[in-house]
Amino acid sequence: MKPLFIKSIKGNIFALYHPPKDGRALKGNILFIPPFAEELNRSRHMISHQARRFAAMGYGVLILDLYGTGDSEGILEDASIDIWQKDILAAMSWLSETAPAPLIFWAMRSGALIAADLIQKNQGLTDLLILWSPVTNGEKFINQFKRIKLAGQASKATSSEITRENLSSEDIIEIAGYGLSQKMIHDFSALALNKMNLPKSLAIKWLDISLSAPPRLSPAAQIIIEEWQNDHMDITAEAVKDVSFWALQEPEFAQDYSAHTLAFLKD
Amino acid sequence: MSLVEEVRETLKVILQIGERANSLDRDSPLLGHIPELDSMAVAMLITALEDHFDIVVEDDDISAETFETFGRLCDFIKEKQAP
Repeated sequence: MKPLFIKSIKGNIFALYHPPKDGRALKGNILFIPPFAEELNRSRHMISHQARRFAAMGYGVLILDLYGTGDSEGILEDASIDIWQKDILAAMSWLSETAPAPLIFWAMRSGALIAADLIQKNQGLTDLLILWSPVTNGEKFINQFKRIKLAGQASKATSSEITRENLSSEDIIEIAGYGLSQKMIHDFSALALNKMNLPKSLAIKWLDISLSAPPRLSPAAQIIIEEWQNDHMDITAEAVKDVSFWALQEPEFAQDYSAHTLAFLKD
Repeated sequence: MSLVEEVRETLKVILQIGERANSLDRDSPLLGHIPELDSMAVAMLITALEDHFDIVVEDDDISAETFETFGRLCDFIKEKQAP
């Protein structure tokens, strides 16, 4: 595993490169598009676990911290989805210069919106998109994130003084230590998977976690997947009963989820 | 699985309270009594419940009362599911 910095549009972004294990022949490159804020924090162990498993199969895997997050330069409140997409393009260039091979996007939660939007704007970037429990609607996602602040008040059992209305009037909203600009809120809110115009040449592998057995896709996911299937998109979707690790305070490994992800690449 | 059991399972997984979830009954207090249930956990829990039960939770719903007891939370989800 090799830590490195990649020069991108607004500054250097930090990345970790997992080359194919023990000098295995390079099967392809996998670029990880991360989830947002606390969800990323809580997923780090699973991301590196999965990256190592991909590397053991012969893939080169690049995990990057988008501008203003993790160990990359910048602060979150200056970031935008456009900047992040340029970071992804910069990471792609690094991969293709370092180890030329077909590229797979592996996007998690809100990273799915960022990746799908980048693909619809640059068709032909990749032929395979692996989605880890994708966020389907950016506006709903932002509202869920803002809720951390509302929940803070409810859990202190005080009357709710912060409403979403006065949350939206501030330029930078501070939530759980993350500074969210109006630009970022606007950018995310404009993205929804069902509005994306994705190329037919793109194969999509969608993996969800279900809390109950037998596992089932969430109703929101089902609607989009059916739409895509009716539109003759190449989509495979599965739900696995496992732990939603990105939501958990104490790290847990979703082993079945990880195994199903590997199986996507064994076809 | 019944709605109550599904809510129990969600609490167990998201709050990581293990076997303690099995002993929850209608009158079991949640907020202020389960130390894992801090503001971040409340937010994560609501998101998980929304996804699992295909409901939309409004800002006004997020009050201490909704999370007062296990029974109250189950009732709340049942109400949200009603067409």
